[in-house]
Amino acid sequence: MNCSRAEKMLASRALGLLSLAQARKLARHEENCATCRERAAGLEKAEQALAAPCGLRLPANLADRVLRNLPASAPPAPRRWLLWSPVLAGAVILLVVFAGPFIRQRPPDMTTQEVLDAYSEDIKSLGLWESQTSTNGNSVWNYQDVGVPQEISQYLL
Amino acid sequence: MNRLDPEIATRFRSGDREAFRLIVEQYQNQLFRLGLKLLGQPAEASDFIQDSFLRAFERRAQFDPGRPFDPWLYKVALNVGRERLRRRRELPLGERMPEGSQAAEAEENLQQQDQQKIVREALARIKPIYRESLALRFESELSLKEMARALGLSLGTIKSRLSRGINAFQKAYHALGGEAA
Ligand SMILES: [Zn+2]
Repeated sequence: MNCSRAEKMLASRALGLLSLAQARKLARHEENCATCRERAAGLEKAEQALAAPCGLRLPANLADRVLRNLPASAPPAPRRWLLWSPVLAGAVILLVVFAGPFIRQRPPDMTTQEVLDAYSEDIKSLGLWESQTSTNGNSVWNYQDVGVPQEISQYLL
Repeated sequence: MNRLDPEIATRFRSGDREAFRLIVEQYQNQLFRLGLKLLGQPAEASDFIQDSFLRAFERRAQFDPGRPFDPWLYKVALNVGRERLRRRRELPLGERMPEGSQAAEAEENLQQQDQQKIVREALARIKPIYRESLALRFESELSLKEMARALGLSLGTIKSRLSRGINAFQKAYHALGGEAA
């Protein structure tokens, strides 16, 4: 084993990612290499420092404080979206079907990303996007909420 | 491994506040330590956990009960941490939160605290992508695969970030005299 290979393994060992067999090989290299032994000592201290307790403790009432800050009534999900979800899902499918040929035959000066961005701007200008955005501005769109299983939704936009 | 009971995760998803309280109690210390490593300042770490839990509650409909809870929670928390760092970069220096604010109570071990200040300072000096990976590796119980999912990275990328990260941290820590103790 050369030192550059050993160096990678030293980092893995400090991260707890080395197998027993690899650790044995590394130890054999260290026996004959002062440079790697020194490097190993530094990494071991770094690992111990990162793993050490932080020396600080949280205020005891944190859970109460978090619960107090929850919104007063907690609806399970913004209902308004559910009305729009099938509409948007349909729009996305139509967009993919109809935009497909244009994306393949896009003008040479536009990348696929730019074409998609242009379509997303069109959706925004039609006001469709706003209806899919919650009041705090965070998207909570979720295919699973409209009954599309995870195995399928991961391939959808 | 101290993972969340799937039944509590399901109750949380439906908005059960008692289940949410159990989650806060189970994860608050881990998230606090994660926040300390990501953000460096105890007061900010304390705000960070509150924001993270509130965000998790707001977005609970996005949690898939068929999957483990931890990677999802950490993903939410990492995003909160990234936003705080982004906002901090936009703040003028004078308005940033001072170290040692009373939001987190200090324990008596002063020497340990000094060492941990050096750890946080060294973490602050390395690239955020390395800091995030190291913070997750040392403060969560996520497997490498789960870490990769929480960070949206491949397994190879996460391994390489961890490896580069610990080397970068070691250099910064050494430069700050952290190994002396
Ligand atoms: Zn060597």
